[in-house]
Amino acid sequence: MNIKLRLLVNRDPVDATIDSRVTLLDFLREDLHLTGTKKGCGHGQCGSCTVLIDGKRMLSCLKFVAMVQDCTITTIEDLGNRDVLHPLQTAFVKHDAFQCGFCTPGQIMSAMEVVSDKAACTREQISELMSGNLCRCGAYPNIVSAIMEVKANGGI
Amino acid sequence: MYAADFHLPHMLYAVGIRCHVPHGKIIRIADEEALRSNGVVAVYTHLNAFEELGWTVTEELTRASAEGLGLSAFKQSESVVGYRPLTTDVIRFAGQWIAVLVARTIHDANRGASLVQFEVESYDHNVSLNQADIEGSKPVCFFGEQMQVERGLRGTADATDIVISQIYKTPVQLHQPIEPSATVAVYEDTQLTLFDSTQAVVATRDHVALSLGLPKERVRVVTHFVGGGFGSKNQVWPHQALAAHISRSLGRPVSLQLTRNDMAVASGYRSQTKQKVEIVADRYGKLKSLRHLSHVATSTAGGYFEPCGLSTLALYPSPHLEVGHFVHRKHVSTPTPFRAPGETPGSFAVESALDEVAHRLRINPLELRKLNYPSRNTYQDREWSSIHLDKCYTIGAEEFGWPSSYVEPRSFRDGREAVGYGMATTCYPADVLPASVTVKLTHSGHAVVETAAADIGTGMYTILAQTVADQLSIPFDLIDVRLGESVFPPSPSAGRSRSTSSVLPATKNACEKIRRKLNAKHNTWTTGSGEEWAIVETGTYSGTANADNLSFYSFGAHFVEVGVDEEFAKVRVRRFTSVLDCGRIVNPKTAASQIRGSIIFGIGMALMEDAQFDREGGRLVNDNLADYHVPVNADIPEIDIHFINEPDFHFNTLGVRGLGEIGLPGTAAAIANALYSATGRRIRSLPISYSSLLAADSTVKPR
Ligand code: FES
Ligand code: FES
Repeated sequence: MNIKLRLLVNRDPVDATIDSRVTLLDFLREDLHLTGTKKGCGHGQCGSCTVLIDGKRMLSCLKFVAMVQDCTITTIEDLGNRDVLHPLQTAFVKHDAFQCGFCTPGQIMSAMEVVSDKAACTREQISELMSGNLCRCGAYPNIVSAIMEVKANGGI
Repeated sequence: MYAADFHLPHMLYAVGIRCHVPHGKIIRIADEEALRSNGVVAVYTHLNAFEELGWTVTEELTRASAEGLGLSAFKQSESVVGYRPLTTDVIRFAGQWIAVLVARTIHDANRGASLVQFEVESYDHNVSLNQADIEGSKPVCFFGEQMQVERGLRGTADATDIVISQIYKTPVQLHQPIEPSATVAVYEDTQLTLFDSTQAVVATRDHVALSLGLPKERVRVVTHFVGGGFGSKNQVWPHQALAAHISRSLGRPVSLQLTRNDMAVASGYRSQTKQKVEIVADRYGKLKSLRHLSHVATSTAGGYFEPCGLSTLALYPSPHLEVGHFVHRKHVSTPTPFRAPGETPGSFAVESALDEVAHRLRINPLELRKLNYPSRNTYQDREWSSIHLDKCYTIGAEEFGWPSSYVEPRSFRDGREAVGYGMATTCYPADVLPASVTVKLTHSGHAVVETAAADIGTGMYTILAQTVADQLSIPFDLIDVRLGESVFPPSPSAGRSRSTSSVLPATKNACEKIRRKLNAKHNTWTTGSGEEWAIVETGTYSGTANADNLSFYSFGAHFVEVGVDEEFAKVRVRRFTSVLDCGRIVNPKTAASQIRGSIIFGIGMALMEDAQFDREGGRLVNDNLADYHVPVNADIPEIDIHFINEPDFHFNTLGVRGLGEIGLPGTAAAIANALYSATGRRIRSLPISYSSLLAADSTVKPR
């Protein structure tokens, strides 16, 4: 069944007529060509598709487009660009918090929430909260260091 | 951009349709309903793929694919057919594609795929190593080493000698790079461009050109970024050429992305192993005999098997040494190298057995290693090009705080946790292949570096720029490194830890040629103008070491502390220290990340990774990231890495060796050894869970 979809993606209004069973992830990647958000599994297992929906980190592969009607979506494309990186991106580079980089957009979108989470202060707490984002390359300790640094600098 | 990020006008999407039985025959495929479904363009099966796609299988293609790796290790008498989906009605493993559906969008493709129906006849199957596997076939030579070796006399053990004879088991393990393999093929005017997620750009081009019957120059492979490989993208798998054939047939770009489930069977995995290790040592711990006999599984069609005995041959100078491999063919897909293939499961067995020797003799496991120190490669009868394993032991023990004498199991506690210490040695051959690199300088003082090698997350972009910056004194920011295109000068695939040692010397060679020209021109290259490039030079490297008759290896030592919470039934790694001897370190940051990453693979191997077959159905049941557990952030403790950083100039003039794999061998054994130290329970089958610890007999009486 097709639905009329209206939402805000990276501050731009988007209107589309689309099959309601299409996932937000496929919609972002295949229809809007916002390929910064990655598909590692398509089934809520890896975290590489993490985006912000109304400011909260969510797995976009587990949301049908019909579920995000009128929502505000933020993807990695909205965070920074080549010349002006977002503070989290700068910290990820500095701490070598990625190797292949495929999980990184998801890690950073997830970190967006963790950075501003007052309950996450220690390395252990951050590690726990970042455990929904798999990194097979094993950049985990460096990811925690990057987030710690941004927190120490007053967040984002 | 990664391969699946490429969007081209009028692009079609292909998806594989998987068979659920591991052995049988396709009887009927009904695709009418699927073909009527919205957006579906075509369905290919073994019935029409040859006619419509020109899709077939030949011996030459098999040898140039993942199925062919290792075939030469088997005797001629064993006729191995090679496998390619959609070429036959024979079902060889569960998860095999019996059809590929093409549609206008990925949404249409997925829906269409669910409508294809098929009927199969199922035969008896056998998917796991079992008691009945006694002999198997005996491969001869693989990875440049003999697979069946016996040196010295076995003799009989003296009364004061000790004998350890045990079986060690490792399960099927899945690479699970976070990026599933993907190929976007664009065939236009007898010219193919393949945006592909591969570790092996040149081999992919050659295979796909062969498959299409095109000259190599007409195939261009583009691999700018790869979302991890670990071996799963180091060989050529069927989907890569299939996307190209479909694009040729339909005249439109085609995107073929493997699903997470496909990744478990359509791009290899580490096969199951069952290894017998028998050690005879004198009462001081000096080895007299070391036997390492490995039973490994492979598919019914392919050649790859896990060469578990590789480091056993090199590392311990036992007067009697026996290494054997026995390969058992099962109804499974073909396995493939997985980060430190062979060495990884092999070292789990041998480094565990050595720990058993140490505890039996009540000597410090580190002292046992020192007592059996490999001052030379006795198997190859050669000196090492460079070895600092003794320093790895000393520095590691110091940094970690390794006990100086023998410590009984169950000696330490911290709150609820029983704490244990374990260690193991790692080693990995230093390999090298021919490589070539072009360095171009612009009049404005920028440099462009080009080579076909791929960066799969290993840091090749960074260390190439560093090398050019060093060699030509050009600021790092003015260097643009371009990798992963088959039109660039050829370089080896990103595997077997040989990219650094192959590509960097070629880069140096290019820079030296440039320097010679610059001297002749009195260094005026930044002022001239006119053409785009002031200087272009291609450097090459022969792929041979600097010195002959030496044995080239990297070494290292792992030290680990584990905690076992006996009330909450939890096992964890508390801290990890590793010291590595891998030649000169080009970039300490990316190098440490590589080692940390491979240790994390080892932690997964020791404590969680376990691909399980359903015994009835013969299908991999946890072929996804929810049920196949890999380490998450909270599983990983502090990992402290130290490098000896001594250049190996016998190897190459930069003194560098690769290091993407050496962190993994030994890690699982070090953890198993630490768990023994914590609990007095020896686990010889991976992964180790709290329940396997409970089920094991303790050698220590409860206090
Ligand atoms: S793609 Fe969404 S969790 Fe893996
Ligand atoms: S950087 Fe490769 S998966 Fe995280």
